[in-house]
Amino acid sequence: MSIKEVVESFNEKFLQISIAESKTIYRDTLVLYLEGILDTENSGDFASVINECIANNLYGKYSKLVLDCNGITYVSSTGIGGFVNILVTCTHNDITLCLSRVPSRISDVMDLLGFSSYFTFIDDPNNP
Amino acid sequence: MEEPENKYQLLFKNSYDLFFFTDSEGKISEVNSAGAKLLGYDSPSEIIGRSIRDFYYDKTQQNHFFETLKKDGRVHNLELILVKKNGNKLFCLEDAYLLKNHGENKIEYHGIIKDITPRVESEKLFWRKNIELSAAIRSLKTHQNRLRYVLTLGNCAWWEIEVETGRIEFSSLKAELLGFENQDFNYYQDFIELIHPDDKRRVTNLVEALFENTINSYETTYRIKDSQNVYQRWYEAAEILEKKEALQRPQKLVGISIESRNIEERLKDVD
Repeated sequence: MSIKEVVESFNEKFLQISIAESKTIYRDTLVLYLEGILDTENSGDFASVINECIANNLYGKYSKLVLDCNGITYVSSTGIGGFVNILVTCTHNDITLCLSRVPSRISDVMDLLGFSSYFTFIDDPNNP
Repeated sequence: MEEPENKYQLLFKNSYDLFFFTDSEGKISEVNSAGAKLLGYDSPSEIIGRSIRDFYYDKTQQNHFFETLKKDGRVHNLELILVKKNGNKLFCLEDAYLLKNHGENKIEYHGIIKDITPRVESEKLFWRKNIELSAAIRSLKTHQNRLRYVLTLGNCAWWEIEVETGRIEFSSLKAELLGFENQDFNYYQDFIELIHPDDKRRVTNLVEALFENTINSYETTYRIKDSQNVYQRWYEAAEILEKKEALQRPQKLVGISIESRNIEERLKDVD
């Protein structure tokens, strides 16, 4: 499955969260640009699909995954749980996870829950 | 039986959840006692007249709430963070709907807020444990790889015996060095059978002494027959890995075996 197909099948699944663009940089780094909301309803499925990508496609091909969060307009605590879930899968598969352009609405919830220290935050998705 | 109107009043009054009514600007017109208590206030009168927006922690969550309400007429299970009087934060689920009174051209919001902070707290624990576990597994993998690398570099085979059954687990190098397959060995006696008759009793005694807990470890050398019926000289070191706490009886033994000719040849190469 190519990344294009992964993105298409991901976007077909959800109405509220989508991958606006995917970009391969430095050959070993994949950037997924997220748009929409992450709430109680879709966080579990969101994490499952990204995890499936990591397990089936990314492993052995990419060593770094950047999730660009600039287009996320709302996140619930379950949404943060979704990011934690992805982080755990990345750790298992030796992939470094970076979150880029995280809006304060997400980082505030992450701080409040006490999970900020587990993630790597970057400003520029093209420069992880 | 209560009149229906009274029943709803009782529900409003006795619920553990926060029930509220606001005008179109979000100004609270009614709230139940449980709601006031949830937010850390003594009575509803302390809240009535204030904007519901005052209690939202995150402005973007607040905007998302009002935008959805205006667009869809209702919100269902929307998670919000509310701020209590003392500044503490509450994770809540909110159901709300917009009510249009055409006659008076008035808009009202009705909502129910449920405190889910205890659920979020237990989820946090679970997530944290998951992160710690994955970091521990990663670290274990790194150590495992390092150990495997060192053992391979030293041409050193590891093995582990379960004392109760005599079953043996070992690195494939142990069978490979002898020219056999892994499946040819299930019990430690399968290896003992290949030891030179002059060495067999001594090695058996050492292994049994570990079984009996009369020694804690041993180091020895012996000759062992390979698949070509040629004897190789092996160095072996072993010790007790696990003991049953109460009885102090050994449960598992662990050891390494090195084919000494191999070392000698490599030393010659280095020289």
